[in-house]
Amino acid sequence: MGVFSDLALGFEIALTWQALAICFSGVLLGTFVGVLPGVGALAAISLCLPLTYYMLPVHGLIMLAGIFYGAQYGSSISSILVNIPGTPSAAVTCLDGYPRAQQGRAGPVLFITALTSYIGGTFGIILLIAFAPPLAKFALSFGAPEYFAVMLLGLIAASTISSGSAAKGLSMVVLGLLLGMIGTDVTSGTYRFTFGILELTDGISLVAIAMGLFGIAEVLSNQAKTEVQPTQKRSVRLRELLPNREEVTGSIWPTARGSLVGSWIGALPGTGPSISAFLAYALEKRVSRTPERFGKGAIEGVAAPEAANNASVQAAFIPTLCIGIPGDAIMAFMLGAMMIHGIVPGPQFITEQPDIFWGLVASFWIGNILLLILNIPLIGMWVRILSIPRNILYPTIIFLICIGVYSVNNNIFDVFIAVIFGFVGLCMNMFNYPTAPVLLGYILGPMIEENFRRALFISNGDFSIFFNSYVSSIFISLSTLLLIAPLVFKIWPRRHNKFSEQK
Amino acid sequence: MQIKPLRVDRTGQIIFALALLVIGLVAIFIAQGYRLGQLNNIGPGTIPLALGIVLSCLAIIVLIESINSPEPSLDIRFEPILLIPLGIITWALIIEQGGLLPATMVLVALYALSERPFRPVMTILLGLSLSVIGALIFIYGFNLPFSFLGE
Repeated sequence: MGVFSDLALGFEIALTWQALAICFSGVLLGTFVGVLPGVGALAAISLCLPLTYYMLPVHGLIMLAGIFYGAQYGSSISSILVNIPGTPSAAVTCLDGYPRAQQGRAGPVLFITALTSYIGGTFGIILLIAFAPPLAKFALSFGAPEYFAVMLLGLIAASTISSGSAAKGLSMVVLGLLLGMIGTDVTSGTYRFTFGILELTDGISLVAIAMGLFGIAEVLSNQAKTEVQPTQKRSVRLRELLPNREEVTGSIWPTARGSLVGSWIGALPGTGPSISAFLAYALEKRVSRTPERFGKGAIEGVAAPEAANNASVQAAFIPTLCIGIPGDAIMAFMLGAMMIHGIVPGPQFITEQPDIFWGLVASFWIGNILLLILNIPLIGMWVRILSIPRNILYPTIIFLICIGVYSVNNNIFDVFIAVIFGFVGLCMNMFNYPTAPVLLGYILGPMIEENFRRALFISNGDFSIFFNSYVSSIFISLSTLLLIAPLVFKIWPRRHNKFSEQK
Repeated sequence: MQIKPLRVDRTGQIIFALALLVIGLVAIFIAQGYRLGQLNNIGPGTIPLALGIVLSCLAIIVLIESINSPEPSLDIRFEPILLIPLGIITWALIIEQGGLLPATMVLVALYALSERPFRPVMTILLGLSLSVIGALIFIYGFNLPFSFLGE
């Protein structure tokens, strides 16, 4: 019965009119940035973080989380209509969503997408309710070595699983960790890498880094392209939305499988909605009796990844809230935001601040229902957003970034830092380095260092402490495996090529 | 303003990898100045030192990868990369003394110069409306400590 009374407490908080208004504005803004290609959820969340300083902590978190999962709903719209994913996690949706829209079924695909997104999201929330409290209880037994091991796996997984060169991903994580070292060392009070600059003694501002890497860099990358994509004008009418019987029955099982895949993958450290969506798509293709239809507008190829990425964003809150270890960069940012509000996520969070935890969970549910309403009857409005001209949109974004970065500490130094990271992010985009690991490393850096030092302090310098418990041994072994895997896979294709050339 | 597109090819890749290597080496150099401590009481220098070493090694691997990879070169427009950051920096330099309106007008104008074609009327209208809406929300709504027209 405990769960129901807890949930009742949560709804009491999430159903106040302020919370509802904040949740609504969060998911509205989330859908908006989701629809717009080139502006991601991270940029929007970091823009709004300074605004949440004026709110109650629980309201601030409801808003930031709403932007995050709202963006998942919105991102599929641009994937389906113009073949450009609104956020990276909707890239898979392009594969079948766009061809099907070209066949004149744009309305039904959007309808199905909204519905499967809702089902996936709800599934993730149920998993969160069911597993967060017991996992938190289990995590109470975690000591410094366990925390170190879990964070290590998260960092390595986030940088190696993503596509592209593993060395590039890892170097970005290490760069992020080093950036996290800037400022005052918590244990000894030493100033590190401050170069005598007073503003750096508190470390680099989180918002400045995030805005530089994900806001300014995105605008620069899009504007620097030589070929300009014309803004597209499209319209979808409400009565074109209804799917036919075949489309509905064809989506039921893919949605169920997608929700399952997404919620489990999403809860793992180092993964995220993109990987969940990709795996769900691959699974559908594997189980399908007609895999040749994929890529040509198969409805399963839309339903499964959309259910998966929405389930995954809700499940991603499980490790963040009940162990205090974020799985990806956005969750790491949420963790940073919580700490700014004086909330320390971790095993004690659910029992010590049940109002915030359950209020947040209840708001997820409300937010998903709001998104369903926003996405089905109001679809026409979102489609029109795709035709906002760039020469109005981008200056507005830059303007908001300036105010957002400045207002965190009322300091122009942070704006200069953001510009530097804008340049760095631009280079990273041009040369195919992943940007998310930098932020993850930056946020986890001080925490992982503290736990490493504490573990060795407890064991009096003996490294075997990291293998004393099952949890830390398993996580360290998995991390090692992930580091070795790219080396093995790297050699494989090269040998294969040489061999075939000789033939 | 029209400048020839900038060609980004393997040289850019190599320069970026070299920059990573330099960051790693600088980290090693600086971290040695901090107390390293013993294994049972690690000082503030050890982890940065280790990270510097790891970053340098990874940078060397990336460097070798970039030299070997047949990365396709791409052309980028130079104006936005120069003018947009310049606009942001100017905004920051003006905002405290000059106020939101002049700072934003300069920001929007520099942005507009990076676009083709340059649209003066739309730029002025956009700058004005952003400043007014921004003032209503951030100066009167959130009480941010800057003014509309300067001190």
